[in-house]
Amino acid sequence: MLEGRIALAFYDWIDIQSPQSYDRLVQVLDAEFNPEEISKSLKTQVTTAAKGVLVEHGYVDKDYRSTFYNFYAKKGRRYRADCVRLHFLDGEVWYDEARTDIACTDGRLQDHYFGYIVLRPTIVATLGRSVLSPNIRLGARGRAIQSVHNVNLLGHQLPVWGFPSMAQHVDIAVCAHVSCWAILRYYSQTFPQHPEYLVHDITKLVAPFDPGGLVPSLGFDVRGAERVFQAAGCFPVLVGRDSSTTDQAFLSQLLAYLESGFPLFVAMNNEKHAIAVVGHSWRQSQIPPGSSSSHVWEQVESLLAVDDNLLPYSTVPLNPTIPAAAAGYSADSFNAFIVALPDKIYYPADAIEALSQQVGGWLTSTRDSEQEPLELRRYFITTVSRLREHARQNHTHLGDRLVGLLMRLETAQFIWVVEYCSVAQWQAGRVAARAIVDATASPRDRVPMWLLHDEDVAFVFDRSSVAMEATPIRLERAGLGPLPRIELNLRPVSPSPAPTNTT
Amino acid sequence: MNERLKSYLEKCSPATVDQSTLDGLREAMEEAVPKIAESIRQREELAAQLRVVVPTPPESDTDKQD
Repeated sequence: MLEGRIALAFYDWIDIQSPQSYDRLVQVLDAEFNPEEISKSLKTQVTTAAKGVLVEHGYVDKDYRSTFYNFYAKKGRRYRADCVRLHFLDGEVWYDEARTDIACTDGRLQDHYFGYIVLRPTIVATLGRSVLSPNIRLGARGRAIQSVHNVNLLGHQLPVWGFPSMAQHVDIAVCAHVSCWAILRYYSQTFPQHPEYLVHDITKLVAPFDPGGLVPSLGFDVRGAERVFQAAGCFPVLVGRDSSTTDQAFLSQLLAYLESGFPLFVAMNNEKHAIAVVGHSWRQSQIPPGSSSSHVWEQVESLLAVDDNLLPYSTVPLNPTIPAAAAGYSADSFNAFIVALPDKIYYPADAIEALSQQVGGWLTSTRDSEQEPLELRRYFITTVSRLREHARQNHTHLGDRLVGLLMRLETAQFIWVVEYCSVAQWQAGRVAARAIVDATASPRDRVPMWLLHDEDVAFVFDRSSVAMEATPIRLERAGLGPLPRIELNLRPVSPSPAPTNTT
Repeated sequence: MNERLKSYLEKCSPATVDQSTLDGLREAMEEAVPKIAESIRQREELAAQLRVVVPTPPESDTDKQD
């Protein structure tokens, strides 16, 4: 019956007045796209910001095609080659059937577009490659790693910021494949030096040899995930957790890499599941630090995950005492994570933890008793270009002298930024002191620092000499107040209202 | 140190910091080195165990629906 069916691009428009409006998908989509299940997911996981869905039939999806050519086309059951794409738009946009076009009053369609999901004709697990804005994901808040994707629709090019996601295929790919795929697709979208890997490519990268028949895929262990990232040109670091590992040791490293803008592959043994962690939200009201110099992981309320069982940006509470979100697990279930680092990052997060504690102790010893205590520590990797971008944007708060230093520092491309502050300063988005550490330093480097400064004094280290002496200079920031906290690598999520009736 | 930074530092007002304070900072950083080596050793040991025993995700909810 499917023989001879030709993919034909045509469009349907669905006004979303209530969650029940998504039921129209059942009328406009063929059964092999499983529209009932998709409608159910959209009703409960998308906010009311989405007011219109444009259904693009006959869409050719490169990731589905990679599995179609190499797998589905070889099966006895006939699968079609085309997909469907659902585009999400806000209430300012309408569809003009006569002109086959979308339009809005201000003429800026890009401001009203929330991204798309692709539906595969695979009967089960039909949710394919998607790039959705976190701003329409119910429950998503805080900050998320995102890249810009340019979407071609009806002759318009619409940019959308988001993180790639899809449901697992069940047969050719499972959750671990999808998590690797999502992370690598983010890399290829963001960094030009990373090639693009399609879903079928990922299934081939997992094994050290070509296993031939790829079904049923039984998943893979952390070695398999490390192999995928290595084969894709990354340098994976595996961080595990056992009964003797403290939350501080595990979660401080997790947050450090996450805040550095690296999405994390996370394995959960009890859940028999793997996800990608791509964001987090800070607590609204701060909790007292657990020690005199605590890492800021304690101030995290929840993480944002790309879980292939859900739409992207599901919330994962840090511990099970916070009511669980739809995911049904907390960060307590995480057994290990892998961060796929670029080359030239040799100083790991556990090294910066030990260094920042030592330097924090020294900073505290030099401060007057009237000054606010340095209760919280935070660190993340960034590039010196991004740091200079921050300096330029915050010139008036940093002052000429500090900006001049940051513009002239001769550093490696990647740097660790360490920030120290009191709880009150944290709440106000301010810091009291900051260190710029060489991310290419050896862990045995005795002075891995380029610059250490508080509000008044900077120590500039000469790392070109053997002695690596520090030159102390006055920053001349009188009247400029505390330094602004650096938020560079993750984009803020703007939550929108939840639907009221989802039955 | 690069010339550009060196000449810039010469134009800046030096801060008065006694040598013992500077030595204290250097000592603090040097004391971190063995701690770093130990934490990296522990992480690598645990990672080696995980590479052998962790049976990651054979299935998830979506598998169960099939």
